[in-house]
Amino acid sequence: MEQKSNKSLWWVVGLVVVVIAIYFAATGSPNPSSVAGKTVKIGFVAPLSGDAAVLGQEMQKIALYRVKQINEAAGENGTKFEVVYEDGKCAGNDAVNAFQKLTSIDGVKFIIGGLCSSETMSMAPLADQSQVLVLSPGSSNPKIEGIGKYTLSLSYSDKKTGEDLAKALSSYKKVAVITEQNEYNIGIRDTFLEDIKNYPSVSVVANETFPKGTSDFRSTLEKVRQASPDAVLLNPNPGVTAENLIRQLAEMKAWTGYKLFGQLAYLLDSGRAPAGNFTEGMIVIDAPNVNSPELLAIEEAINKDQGGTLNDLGHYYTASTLDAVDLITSLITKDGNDAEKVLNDLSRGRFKGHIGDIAFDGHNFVRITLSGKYLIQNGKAVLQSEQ
Amino acid sequence: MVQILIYSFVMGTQVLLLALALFLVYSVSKVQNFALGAIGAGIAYALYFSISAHLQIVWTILLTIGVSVVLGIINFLLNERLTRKQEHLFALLTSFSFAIVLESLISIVFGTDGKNIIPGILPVYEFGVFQIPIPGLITICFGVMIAVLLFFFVHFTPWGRMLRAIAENSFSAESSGVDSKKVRFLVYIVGSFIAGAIGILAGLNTALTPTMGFQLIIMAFIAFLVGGVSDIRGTVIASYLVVLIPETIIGSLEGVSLNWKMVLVFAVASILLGLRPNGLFVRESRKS
Repeated sequence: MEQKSNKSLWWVVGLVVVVIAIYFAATGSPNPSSVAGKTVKIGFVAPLSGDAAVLGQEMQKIALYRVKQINEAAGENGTKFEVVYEDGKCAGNDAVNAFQKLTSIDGVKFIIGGLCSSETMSMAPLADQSQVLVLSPGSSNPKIEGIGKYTLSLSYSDKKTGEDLAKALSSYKKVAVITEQNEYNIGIRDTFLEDIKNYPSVSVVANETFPKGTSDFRSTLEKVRQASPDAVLLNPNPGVTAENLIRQLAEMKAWTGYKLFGQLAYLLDSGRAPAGNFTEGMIVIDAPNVNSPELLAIEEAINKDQGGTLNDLGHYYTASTLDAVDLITSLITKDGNDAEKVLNDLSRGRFKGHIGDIAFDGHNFVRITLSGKYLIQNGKAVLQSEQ
Repeated sequence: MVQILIYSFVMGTQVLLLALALFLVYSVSKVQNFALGAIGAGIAYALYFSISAHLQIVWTILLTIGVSVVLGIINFLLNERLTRKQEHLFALLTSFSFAIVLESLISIVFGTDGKNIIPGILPVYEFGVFQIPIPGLITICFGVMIAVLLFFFVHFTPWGRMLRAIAENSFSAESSGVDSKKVRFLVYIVGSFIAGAIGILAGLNTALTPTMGFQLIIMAFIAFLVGGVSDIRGTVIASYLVVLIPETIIGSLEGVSLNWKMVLVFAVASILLGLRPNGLFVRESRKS
């Protein structure tokens, strides 16, 4: 009798196991890191002070606006996000401090940033060690490719910018380049110098580098002038340094007969403003042009919501910052607070973003192959071509 | 090369003015006062504020002078007790802390982006094939004038004798009836004015940033040490040497850029200190 009841008990247990198995097969396994109805903390690292603060602060405005929208749309049962903003000061050591604070004190597993390559490149080894996903909206140093598994960038690589600058300057015989000593600018300079070798008729008559924080460039500019270049490439970081450099170049009225080239620092209106009309005719090679009506409407809304304007960051980095927030938040909502899962989805998936089609295909840089060539005309950067 | 020397002369004069302020304060307190750089920046920002707020010229002058006096008094009060106790190292650290606090306050109030007192391209004075920005020209004239005035003040006036007496031995000077506290107070105020002048001139020549004073004070400190802490002539010559030699090397050698500047400054300073350890014009100390 006892043996019979044991047998029935085993049948019941077996039946329960089968029912549970069928239930999970139908509904999917339970998500151990489900974040529905919870608030997930995300880190944000960008230069909020220092030379490049104007860019970092605009990035912060975009993130503030976008996350507010996402949280409002989430409702009571949806996933909400809290962004912890840290100042990377466009410097490696400050970005590392910010990373350590965000991961060890705030416990974040996702960081949007840095903006400067020096920030992102310094955080990359730590990101791999701590398995924290770092998604940069703007870091472009070519060395980011292959830097680590957990670091991705939505920027185009400076390899492309350097190549296109070399191409643009290839029609001049004697060229000079003036570079600020940081990861972003050195990345552009090195690619440019490597690629300009492909044009045997071009010789680099001056290759000057100055340290971060330099404010007086007159001696350097005079040295470059004495080399009599036909074309001068200005390669500083955006901010007061770029402004001082072009202002002091504009002072040298006796020096004429050369063509002026620049990169992102002079795509921004604020970078050219101190030199007034002097920059007319300057060629700037940098970000591909993104200006969909939807993006422009969002920029308008951000300006209204957060105050000020997004003039300095430009359309591309505004779009890439929006995309960084959208990608991270949507993938966390889907995969949970799990950096490994989000990383897998992000690096293998295909997404529609404001910068265009987003795919990493296992690379650290998003697969963008275009750059924009702009001519400064009537005080504005006018797109000439995308290459 | 002449043009590079002209530009370097402007930078050398900026260093000289701050080194002179350091010299004065050191003479009466034996403290290398690092706060002078940040005080200069603070005064320059006060002028920037006055101009951007469209204050009348009288109010602009009054505000700038007022900020100079207030910062000079705070600097004096922070250091006076430590000076009297001969806690020179603590006084140096205090001045360093004051500099950091001032820079942080400037960053909070004005932001960290650069500010231009004169917007747009600076006017330049052209002579032949050479040129110099007008603020640079003013810097040189002002710097030479202050250096000459200070030299005469220190060596040929009763106040200068008092100052030298305190520099030699403040206790002996006090026993002879010199009010060393009062002299120190006045020197801190004068030092603050000189620092303010150089902050404004450097800001006019390039742009204002919260950390502009720190970069200048480091160069001034090197010049002050190289020149010899007790001889104003040494400070004057060293200020130009530590700027002109590196700038000339950078300007004439291909492959040596501005990023080598501080390496060259320290190399020049090391050689000069090795050759004349007590200062450029100070005879070697007598050995007993």
